[in-house]
Formats: sequence, C-alpha cells, structure tokens
Amino acid sequence: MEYVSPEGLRLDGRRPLEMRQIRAEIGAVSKANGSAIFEMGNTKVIAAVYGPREVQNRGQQMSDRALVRCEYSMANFSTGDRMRKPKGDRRSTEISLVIRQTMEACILTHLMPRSQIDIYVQVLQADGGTRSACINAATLALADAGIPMRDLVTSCSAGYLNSTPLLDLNYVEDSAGGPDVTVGILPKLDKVTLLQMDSKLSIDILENVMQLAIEGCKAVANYIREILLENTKNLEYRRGV
Amino acid sequence: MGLTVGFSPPPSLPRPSQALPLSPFTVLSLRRRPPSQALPLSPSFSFLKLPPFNDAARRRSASPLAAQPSTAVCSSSQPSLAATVFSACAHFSLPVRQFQTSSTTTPPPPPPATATTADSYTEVMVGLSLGEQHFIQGGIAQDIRCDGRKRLAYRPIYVETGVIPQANGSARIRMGNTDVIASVKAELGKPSLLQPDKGKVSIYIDCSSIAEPAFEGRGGDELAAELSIALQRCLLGGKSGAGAAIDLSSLVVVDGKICWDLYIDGLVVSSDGNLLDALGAAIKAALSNTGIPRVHVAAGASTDEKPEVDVSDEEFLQFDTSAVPVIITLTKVGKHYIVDATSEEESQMSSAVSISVNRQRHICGITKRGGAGLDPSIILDMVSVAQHVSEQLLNKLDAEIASAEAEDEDES
Repeated sequence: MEYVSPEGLRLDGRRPLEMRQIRAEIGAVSKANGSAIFEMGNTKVIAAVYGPREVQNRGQQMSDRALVRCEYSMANFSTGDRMRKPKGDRRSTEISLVIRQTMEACILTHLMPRSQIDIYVQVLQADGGTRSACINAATLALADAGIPMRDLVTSCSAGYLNSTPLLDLNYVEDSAGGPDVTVGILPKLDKVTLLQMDSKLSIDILENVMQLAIEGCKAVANYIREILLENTKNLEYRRGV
Repeated sequence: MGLTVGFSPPPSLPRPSQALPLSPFTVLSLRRRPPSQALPLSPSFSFLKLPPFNDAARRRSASPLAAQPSTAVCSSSQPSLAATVFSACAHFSLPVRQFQTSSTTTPPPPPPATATTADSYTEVMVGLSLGEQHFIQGGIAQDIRCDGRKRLAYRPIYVETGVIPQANGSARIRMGNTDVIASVKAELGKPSLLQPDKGKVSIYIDCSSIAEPAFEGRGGDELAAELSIALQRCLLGGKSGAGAAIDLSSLVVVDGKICWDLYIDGLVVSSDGNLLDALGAAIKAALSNTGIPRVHVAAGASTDEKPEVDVSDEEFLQFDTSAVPVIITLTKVGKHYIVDATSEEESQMSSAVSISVNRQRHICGITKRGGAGLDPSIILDMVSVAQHVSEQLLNKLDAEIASAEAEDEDES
C-alpha cells in the first residue's frame, strides 16, 4: 500500500515531517489534584493525577521517596470497532508501566517521602500514538497538580514507511507494520527518557527517524509550555494579583 | 468537530469580584478534620442564621412539594436531625430560637447516616466530620443546601453532543462536578431467536479511575454493574421490550436475519454524586445525536440465509427520542428527600429511589437502593414528586440538547 503519494502527501494529507494538530487543556476533572486533556489529531486522552497523598497500601511505602503509580485504560468506544476489553490486559499493563517509568524519572520523588502519586490516563479516542499522547497528558496533569519535576517530559512517535521517515503516525500508518519509534525526552535537559521501537531498521535510518521524533517532542514541549503559561496567567488573573 | 470541553475554571480559585454565590464549603473544606475545627466561626457560618428557623408553616406553603407530608410515619424512629444541628450550633452560641424539641440538652445522638449499609454508593467514601455531617443534614432539613440549592433543584446542566467522532452518536453531560460521556455504536447483527422482529440494545457503564482513585483496577466494577443494570431497567423496559425508550422493532433490517445492535457505552469522567441521572441524561442526548445508516437489502435476497446488504454512507436515520425517559433520583436524607445529590450529600443518605419518567409522565422504571426501609406511602409520594420534577428536567434537557446539536452542526 502507498502511504506517501508521489506528491509527498500522506494518507491524511499531511507532509512526511508534519505533526497532527495538537490541542491541550488543563483541568478537565475537577476532583483530581491535577488533570488535563491532550489531543493529537483524533487521538484524545484524559489524564488525572491524585496526590501526593498518604500511601494506601502500607507495604509499598518507601521512606526515602514517593511511590508513583499509573493506570492506563481505554474506553469501550475509543476504537473504531467497539471492543469488549477485560480491564488490565497485557497491552494496557505494559503501557501503564512505560508511563509510570517515564514519569517517575522526571518527578522529584525524593522530596515527597512516604507518599503516593497516582496517575490515571483514560483514552477516549485511539487513532495511533496513544502512548505519546498519554505521556504528554500526564506531564500536563502533573504540572497542574503542582508536583515538583526535573523537567517536562514530552513524547512523540515517528516511523519509516515507503522509504520516508514519517512524523507522528496515525492508526493506519501505525498498523502498516513498519517501524514505529516512540521517543520521550526531557526537553530542557535534552535527554531521552523513553525509546521504544518495534520492527527492524538500519542504524543510520534509525538515527534519522529518532532525530525526527525528537524534533516532534520539542514541538510538543513548546506547545505544552505555552499552555502551562497561559494556565498560570489565568490563575493569576483569577486570584486578582 | 472534536471535544470542546470549555475551560472550566477550577472552583477553588474564584476571582474575588465574582465569588461563587454558593457553598459555605468553599470555605469549609470537606477534608476530614477534627470536629472542633470543622465549623470555624467564619462569616460563612452566618449562613445558618439565614433560613427562618421558626416559620415552618411558611416554608410549607411556599413549596408544597418540599413539604414532607408524612413525616410522622418515617421519622418517629430517627433522632431529630434539626436537634442535632442546633445543638451543634449551641457550641458556637448562635441563637437557638423557638426550638421545640426536648433533646437540646442531651448530647447529640449519632447521625443516622452512619447506620447506612455498605452499598456501593457509600463505598465512595467522603471524609466528613461530625459537624459537617450535621451541617449538610441541617441544611437539607431547612431547604437550603450547601451550594444554595433548594431540595428539588438541579445543578446547572451542560450538554455537548458529537464528542466521539467514531461513534454513531455521543454526548457529554456535566452537572456540577459530575461529568459523564455516553456513546452509541450501532453494529449489524442477528436478532435473537425469541424475538426475530426486534433489534438489540445493551448498556455498559465504565467507571474510569480518573474519576475516583477507588475505581482503580476492578474497584469500579461493582458500581458500574449497579449503574448499568439500573439504566437498563429504567430505559430498556422489560424483557418484552414493553415500555422501552427505543422502539426495538425499528432496529430490524431483515426480519429474523439482520438487525442493528446498539451498544450504549457510558463513561464516568468525574463523579460528584447523582451519576445515574447524569448517565440517563447523557444517553438521551447521545441517542438524539445518533444517526443509524440506512441499509439497502439486495433485492430478492430475503430468502437467503445471509442477505447481502449495502450500508449507506450518506443517509442516516434519526431516532425519535421524545419517548426516552429521564431518571430522577430522590435521595432521602433525614426526614426529607432531595434531587441531584452531591457526593457529600449521598454519603448522608439513608436510601434513594430512582424513578424514570417519560414525557407522558408515565413511570418507566423504579430502582430503590440504600439500606433503610421506606414507608410505601413515601414511595408513592416520591413518585408524584418525580413526575413533577421530570417535566422541568425534560424541558431543560431538551432545550440543552437542541442547542448543543445546533452548535455541533455549526462546527461541522
């Protein structure tokens, strides 16, 4: 199948190095300590953060740092065909783990010993790149909750189809079977915290594709920073400062 | 299209100039605190002085609905709530005027809510101090609740339709801090052998852990099952399909061979009480937003075992949702009952009755939950109140749905 037309356009009309439209919003779940909605094209996720709070299960309490937990779940209506999911299947468990590890790496857990931070992400619509969208949403929610972090973590995926590196794969491109590189970075520190790839790719192409994904992450980081700034200004205004 | 969840300002940070008109609880935080701190003598507490203590008669005449016709029947065994409230007030030397019960001198009896059985609604624990519990109960007894509502007033309802583009129809409803999404998906299937002339509708609810950390893992399953069953009972009618909100025979494509299976999925995004009513309203809105593709059956193929069909991409059939009932949950707290309870109020309930009422004011289903028994006469009284309230709710909901649909069309 042709994923990039001779004119250099992808199936949804984007150019190879173009991202889908991203949109973010802070404060979607009023009860949570922090929450955010993040959209990348048709992919839409909500993240909510509860904590830092008392550890629910005493056995897991750590005296030197905070416990970070994460749960990823998909709504029944999130996919094209309605799925009847058993909660906690292997895929969601794996993504929960990936998100937890990525976020744990940037949270300053040592500042909150004997406490627990819960990150819940719910996929409302899945159209490829849910992993990245979840991480971006979780970053925003953590920032909204005021949890100390080293840096924002942002994530973006890139792939390689029809001998062209493609940024931010959608569902059709994702299921084409080509390599899918998901990268998560700490943009200010310029460090990679998450790197996943399935399928095979030669080393020099991987370098290109990864570089592309990192550029995507940086674009997301700029956007997230803008949203956070705007949110803070809003709060400041409402407080009447 | 796309989910336009307008930026909702976090309620904890109102601008000083437009301070929220409600809720002493913006000051009285609802976290668990020692009772001595629970009711600080802040200006907000003067709220308790506002309602007229003495003229119950006037209140009764002002809102005939709110008056409890058979208080003697149901409350004789319960300690007087008002008594507990006022003895709580006495701590702060507020004027306790014209108080007629004799129990003011005795220490306040334990609030009745602590006796509530463990049904899954109360499992979502809200940590309330004794003072806060009295405050909620007393407010309800005086017909002015913590957020300033009357007993039979709903929170403002916001409706958005078309929030899930992949579904055939979807809607998001917000009532205060309760936030739910409902989606309708239609798939072609085979009718059941027992009812070859009817389509199938099923309702599944998912309590997402983003709404409540307690819903993590399998934690929300019990509540989800309870809500799904209650919604099925209220909206789908009996096994025969009689009294169903949706005309099941309209879902049949070829008799006995092909029909539409409607999957209605609800997702609780944020929970602050009254989930059932919100989900019922969201399903109603989602159904009004639903378009079922028109299906052309290949001519002369109806004798085949599996007729060929052609699903149209352009022509859609709309549902007539005027028959879809709304669900009114009346939550009994102390002697009185309220609509649209918040989770704090739900934690104080003794029992709740959910009644679904349609446009014709017919009762389409009743569910009672909560441990305490109810006098039959009170249930009948609740039904008539629900019928009355349903009319206002239906009108409001229909207006909101219509405006959401109009907005949705403008966008697309």
